[in-house]
Order: sequence, then C-alpha cells, then structure tokens
Amino acid sequence: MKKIVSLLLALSLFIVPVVVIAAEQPISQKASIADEIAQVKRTYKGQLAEYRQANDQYIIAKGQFAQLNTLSSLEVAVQDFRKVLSYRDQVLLTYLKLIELELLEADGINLEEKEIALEATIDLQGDFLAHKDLVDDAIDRVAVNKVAEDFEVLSPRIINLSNYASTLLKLGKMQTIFDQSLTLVEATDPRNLTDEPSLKLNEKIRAHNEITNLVDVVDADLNYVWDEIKTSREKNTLSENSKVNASIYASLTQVLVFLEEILLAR
Amino acid sequence: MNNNLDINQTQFASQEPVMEDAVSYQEPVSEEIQAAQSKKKKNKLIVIGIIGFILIVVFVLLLVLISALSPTQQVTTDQLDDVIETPQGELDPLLEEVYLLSDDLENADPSLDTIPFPPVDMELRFDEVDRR
Repeated sequence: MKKIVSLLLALSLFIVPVVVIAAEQPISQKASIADEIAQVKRTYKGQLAEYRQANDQYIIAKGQFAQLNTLSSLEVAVQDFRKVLSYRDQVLLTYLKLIELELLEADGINLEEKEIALEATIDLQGDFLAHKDLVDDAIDRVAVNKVAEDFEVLSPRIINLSNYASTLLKLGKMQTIFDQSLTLVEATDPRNLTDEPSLKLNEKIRAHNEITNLVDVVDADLNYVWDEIKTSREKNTLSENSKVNASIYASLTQVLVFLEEILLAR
Repeated sequence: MNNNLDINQTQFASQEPVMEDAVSYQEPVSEEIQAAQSKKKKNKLIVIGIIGFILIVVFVLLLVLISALSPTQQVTTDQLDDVIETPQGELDPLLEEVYLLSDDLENADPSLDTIPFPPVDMELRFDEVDRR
C-alpha cells in the first residue's frame, strides 16, 4: 500500500510539469517569437537612425573633400564612407533577421516555400555578415571602393528575397483566413437544419450556394498564386501578382460579409 | 411535620458508601500497543493527505488542459474589445468568429507591406565608376 502511494505521488509529481510544459509550449513559443520581433524592430529603428546620421556626416565630409581636395579631408571622407557602408550592412542584417522571424511566426504559408525562404534568409545573413567584416577592415580609398563594388552582388539578392518573403507573408495571412472561413461556411449550411419551412430553406440554400461559389473562386485563385510563386521562384523571375492578390482579398471580404448577413438573419 | 428529617441518627451527613464514587479500573496499556495505534493514525492521515494531493493535481491538470485546448486563448484583447463593442449583446459564436476574421482580414490587406524594404541607399560609391 505504502509503495503504491509513493509511486503514485512520484508519478504525479513527474506528470504535472510535463503536462504543463507540453500544454503551454506552442502558445509560449509563439509569444516568444512575437516578443523577439518587437525587440528586433526596436533595434532596427535605432540602427536606421544611426545609418541616416552617418550618411549625413559622409555627405558633408565628401562635400568638404570636393572643395578642399586635401589628404586630410580625403581621409575623413573615406572613414565616414566606411562607417555608412558598415551601418547599411547592419541595418540590412537586422532586416533579414526580421524577415526570418516573421516567416517563422507566420501561418498559412506553403511549407515548402516557407523552408526555402527561411534557408535563403539565413544564407544571405551569413553573406552580409561576411561583407560587413570586409567593410570594417577596409581602411583606404581603394579598399572601400572594392567593398562598395562587392555589395552590388548582394543588393539584387536581398531585394528579391524581400519581395519573395513579403509575398509569402501576405498570401499566408489570406490563406489562414480562407481556411478558417471554410469551417464557418460549412457550419452555416442550411441543409443541416431540419425544422425550417421548405420555402425559407430554399432561399437559404440559394444564399449559401452563392457563398460556396465564391469560396471556390478564392480557393482556385490561391492555388494559382501558390503555383505561380513556385514556378517564378524556380525560374528566378519572382514578381508579386498584385492583381490576383487584390482579387483574393476582395473575394474573401465578400465571403465574410455574406456570412455575417446569413448569421444575422438567423 | 418535618418529613425531611433523617431518622437514622447513626449516619453522618457527609458519610458515603466506600465504593460509590470509585475510579474505574483501567488495565495498563503497553507502550508497543500505543505506538502501533499512533502509527496507524499517522498512516491514515498520510494516505488521506496523499489522496487529497492527487485530487488537486488531477484538478490542476484538467484546468491546464482545458485552458490550453480552448480556442479563446488565441483571441487578443483588442479583438475581444471589438466584439464587446458590437451592439449585439450576447453574440452568436459563429458571428463572433466572422467579426474576428474580418479584423484579421483588415490586417492582411495585400496593399500594405508588413516588412517594407529599409530606406537605405543601395548604390553607395565613393568614386563614381566609369561604366562605359
């Protein structure tokens, strides 16, 4: 008896923390990513302000060099230029971190695309970090010109990635809302009602059919856009199809308005 | 006349029979038996305490599981405020869901960029390059 009781006690002491942690993990994980995003956004703003300040200082120094054309004014201008390059890399690095976190937190994104985007973001962070090290080591005019030239390889990559991530995030949000509205459409199906007079029921069925037709259109559009993203990514010609996105958004809005109307009339 | 008068004059007023208020005899209990009895009591208390503890643990577990599984946990306070502000009084849960989704949809407007590209000069050069 004593053994059983102590075993039960030990078991319950072990189970409590496990269950509590398991139950709270998804929520706390999401919350921690949201906290990290807020923190990175604050850092990003501060770094952007530093970049602007350094850029203003560089413009003044370069102007003075153009006027004076002395070795000392050249030195000041080169050092200020190096600082601007370094701050720019830092801002872009933080921006990439922000993209990574936003992608991690986002729901509704096609898993394959999400993984590819995350991998590309992490790779590019590594390349920017290496470039920043080169910038910090560049001390003369030739060296700063060289690192500025090297940046031309990174520049299109980060612009493409930004567009790609932005498209995925927008679509992910709409996909999530679409998936949730499907449950509502199903729940409001009047065919599930038994005590409705047949005249009223037919009217409700017609209204519900209108919604399901609209849902089919949104579904087809979403599939089309996901396919298009995949194809254009494979061909390296990623461009956001804003027309289709706007159409999906408008149709989703209409679905929700119709659902509200049906539910208010119940 | 005087009925209460005790006619037995050989008996004193304070006199009592010898065994009338005698202390009942108690058999002396051995220490071993006493120890065993108190141990039994202790064990009983421990078992009651442990059962009580397990019940509390199960109750807490159930609470945690229920709160983790309930979808309302994901609803933000802003969204709740919006729902409360609607003039519907007590809302149909489905209608409430529609309002929450409408709020989400406002934030999902594809014309809004959640992560706009940083406003930095992407073509910084110290010496202009001759690109002929």
